[in-house]
Amino acid sequence: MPVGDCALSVEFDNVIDRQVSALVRALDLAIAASDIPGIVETVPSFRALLIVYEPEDIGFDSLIEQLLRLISLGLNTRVSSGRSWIVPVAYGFPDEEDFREIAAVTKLTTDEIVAIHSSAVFQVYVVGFVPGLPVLGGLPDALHLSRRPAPRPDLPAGRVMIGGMQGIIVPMPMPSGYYSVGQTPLRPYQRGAANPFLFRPGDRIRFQPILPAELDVLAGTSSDRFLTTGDE
Amino acid sequence: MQGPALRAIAPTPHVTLQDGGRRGWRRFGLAGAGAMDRMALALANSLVGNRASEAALEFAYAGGEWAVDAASCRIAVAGAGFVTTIDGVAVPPLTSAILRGGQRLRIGGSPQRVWGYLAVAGGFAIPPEFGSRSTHVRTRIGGLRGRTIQAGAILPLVAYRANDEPERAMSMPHEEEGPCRIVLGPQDDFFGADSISLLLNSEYQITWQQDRMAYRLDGPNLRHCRGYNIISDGVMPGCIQVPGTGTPILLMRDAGTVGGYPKIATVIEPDLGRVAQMRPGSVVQFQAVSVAEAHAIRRRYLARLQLIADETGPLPSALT
Repeated sequence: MPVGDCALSVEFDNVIDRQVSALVRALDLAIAASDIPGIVETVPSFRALLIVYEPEDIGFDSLIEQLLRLISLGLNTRVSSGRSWIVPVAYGFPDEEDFREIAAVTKLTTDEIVAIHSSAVFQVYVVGFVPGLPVLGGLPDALHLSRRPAPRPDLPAGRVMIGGMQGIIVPMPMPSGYYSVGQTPLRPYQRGAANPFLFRPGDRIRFQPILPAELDVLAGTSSDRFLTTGDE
Repeated sequence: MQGPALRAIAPTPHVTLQDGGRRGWRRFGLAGAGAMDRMALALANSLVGNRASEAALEFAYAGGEWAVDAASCRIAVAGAGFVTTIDGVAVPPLTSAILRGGQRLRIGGSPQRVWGYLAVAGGFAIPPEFGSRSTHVRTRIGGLRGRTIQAGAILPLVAYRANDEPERAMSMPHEEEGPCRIVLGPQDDFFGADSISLLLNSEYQITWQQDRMAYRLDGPNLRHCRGYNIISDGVMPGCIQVPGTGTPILLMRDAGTVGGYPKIATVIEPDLGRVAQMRPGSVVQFQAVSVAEAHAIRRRYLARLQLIADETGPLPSALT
């Protein structure tokens, strides 16, 4: 579908799931590896890939034709599984109240919340809404809960949160209607760094419980230490 | 010793540094930002001999009062109708001028336009962030520490003094008129034929809810036929998204990179600056074009941009 005169959107199934997300990412990688001219940038989301192009360099019909050719060659969803992260979290810190609210709604104990949240494998479906914010699929059913009726202002960077069927990690101060499960020493947005954005669509994340006292100790650690596999 | 700088004496509230915008960071959630009216930015820059997409100060409704901490600086203001004076002496429209140390530059309001641009010869000595000097205030990225320019702010300049070339001027560029062209989609299938026809055959009014993120339009409500929640996907400046209320919202340069409302249509790039310049109360009409037609319009638009650079020449000596 065209998105104005400089972009188009390739839409896959109208669902949020791992397989569809893998297709979006596979097409994204295939485009990056292709020699299609005129591609300015791409924006992967849950089930669609936005492609921004320069009409001076490639026509709409020609671009569609070349995309269809890429898709007809078959999208390899196996090579598109992304990197794996172990993200440390001081659960229940410092927003103990949020933790108790989650427990009340889900009828779980705080220990059970930690056990369930830290045993799931999350996947980064989208990076966006604010720069560097990973939207994580894979939140176990037991932790699904509606967002707050009104968002809370000014959550600091590093808050690990859940809401609806998703998780997020706050990259920069922002309001959110999600519930806080804890704090990570990792920063999804590192201003001025060579790679300022930690997470990419397709990355997998597991959370690992740490003590609040460890936050300061880990804060200076290179983020590479939290990667469990190499860079794709 | 402090280098040459432009000093904000009494800036208006929404002054930011903007250039041609940033590319390549949307996948990380970073909007392109950049000048709301690319044509006006190019005009201001051409008049002072800069490349068309050099960073300039963008202001809304009026520009305020400025001074230069340098021997002299060549400046130009673009955006029709912004009355510009240096120490009380009027600077003719679309003409460059020299601002000397100790003089005051005042940029008043325009009855015709929303966004104006103040360009300085040589540009600002402010490092780009993510490949651009454009300010995205919401995320504090780019520009002068990611913020709007406050009174007392010092904006470092590249040039210590204006060169002795003659002032430049250009005739008023031919302005595109008529309806604002849109390409339907990407989610026009969320609306019935009656709503599409309503969008194309009604007048929509620009409201005071206009800023660098989005313009809220006032007019007939559009009705969704398949609900109004979509799985969030990538959006572009120019997208007309329709939330549950049915009131269309036109996304602008600072809008987020993903959104969850159906987008009935997208304003084409060449017409986006024109709509951005419409003041509250103005009426906009939409006309659907094919992508191929949009690309033909785009070629004419780029040719006009090129013409601005080519036709900006020295002032005829009788006028200097």
